[in-house]
Amino acid sequence: MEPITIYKGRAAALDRKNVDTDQIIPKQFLKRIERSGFGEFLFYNWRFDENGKERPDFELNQPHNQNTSILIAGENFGCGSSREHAPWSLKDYGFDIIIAPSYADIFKSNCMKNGMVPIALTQTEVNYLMERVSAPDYELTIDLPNQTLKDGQGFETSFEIHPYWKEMLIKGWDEISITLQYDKEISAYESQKNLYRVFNRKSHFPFSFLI
Amino acid sequence: MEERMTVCNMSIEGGARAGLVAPDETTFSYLKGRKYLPKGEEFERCVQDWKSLSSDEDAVYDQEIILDGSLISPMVSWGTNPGMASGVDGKVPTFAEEIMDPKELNRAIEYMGLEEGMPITEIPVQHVFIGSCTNSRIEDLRQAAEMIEGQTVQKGVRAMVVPGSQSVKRQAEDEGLDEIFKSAGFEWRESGCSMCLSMNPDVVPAGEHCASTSNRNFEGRQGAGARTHLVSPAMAAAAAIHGKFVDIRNLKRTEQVQ
Repeated sequence: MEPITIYKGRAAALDRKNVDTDQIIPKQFLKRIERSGFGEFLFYNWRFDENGKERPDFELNQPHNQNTSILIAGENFGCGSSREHAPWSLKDYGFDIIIAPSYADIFKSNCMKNGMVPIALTQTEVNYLMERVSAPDYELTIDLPNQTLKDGQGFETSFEIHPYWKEMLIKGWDEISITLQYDKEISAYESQKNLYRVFNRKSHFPFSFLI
Repeated sequence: MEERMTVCNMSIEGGARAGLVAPDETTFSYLKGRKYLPKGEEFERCVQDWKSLSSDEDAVYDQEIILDGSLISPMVSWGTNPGMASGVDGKVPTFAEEIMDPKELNRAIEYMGLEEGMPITEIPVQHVFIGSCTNSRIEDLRQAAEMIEGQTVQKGVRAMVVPGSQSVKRQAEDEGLDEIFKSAGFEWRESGCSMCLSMNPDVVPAGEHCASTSNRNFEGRQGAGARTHLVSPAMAAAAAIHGKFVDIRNLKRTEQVQ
């Protein structure tokens, strides 16, 4: 995945609370087995009408929100179904950074596992940004190592992120990349004789068959 | 025990990553004798082990909330997320009450085709879905069957039961629950996700209301424009008979009087 350190981009505002993953990526698009290509279905029922025509009043269809890579939304963003397709579709559409007052927990970690940064700011800060983002020259800069966000026009704030996820994002790692760093140890462990005997049903742990 | 599973399932809708209920005698007696579990002395050893899984007496929590279930009315969701819900004896909120963001309230009642302040019992129901991993275990189906035995689904209502698994289906059939549902006019279906998220042809048409025992009532969840109301299995069953939401506590009382 692409490492994220100092990130600059234009932002789109989606001034709605409790945006659920059924809106982010409706169920009829969950049938493909790749992670890619979900962007065209992002917010499908909000973006398009029954005939597949763009709804001009939907935020992301408005001209000033084109070519944005930061999404600013209301509280509890990403609630509902834990489908990983939600971050996949946001990322595929072009959003690398999400800003909201709060997130549904599973969605938030799914974002970070897919190289996206979900930033939680206060409601006041989110309102402040939402009011300004439509200006054509308005750009946000996220400094992930220093955990700051600024707009180059005097607004600057800091945000929290767990050190583990911060390192993952800065290095562009996912969990598989981390596991692969232990390749030598894993191979040594797996080459042991009778390794799988520990999974025997009669071992001391009564539920070993569930492993 | 199975109602506990519903509570755990629905904790996700409250923003949790998982919901847990500490194992106790209810849990152990539910597990005893089940397929895939150890028998006899080995089972007893397991029980001793499971007893150690409860939180420590001196555990510290960020927040403790105590709810008295006996004081909660049967709930019906009126809006487009599970938090937008009211007791069946309640009403859709009004803007004047200021209990939520007016924009959110407006979006929700517009999508759901409701008026502010409307009594929950006046919402018409055209579809009833008893199913999903949240609420179609055997105890759920027993409660629903008890609610409708000897009655008929209201004209104009399509009602279906989709057991939570094939083993639940077989058990329900062994107990004769399928006959109760079928003779009342319910469809008795194979297990599956069905109308919980409508990835198959079980779709609620746009603008129609569905009393659903599933876990989510988001826009479009049961079909584009579908209006989902989350309820318990007994409430869904009663809604099928009456074509609208009814307070099942009153039904039970009437039956007792008769």
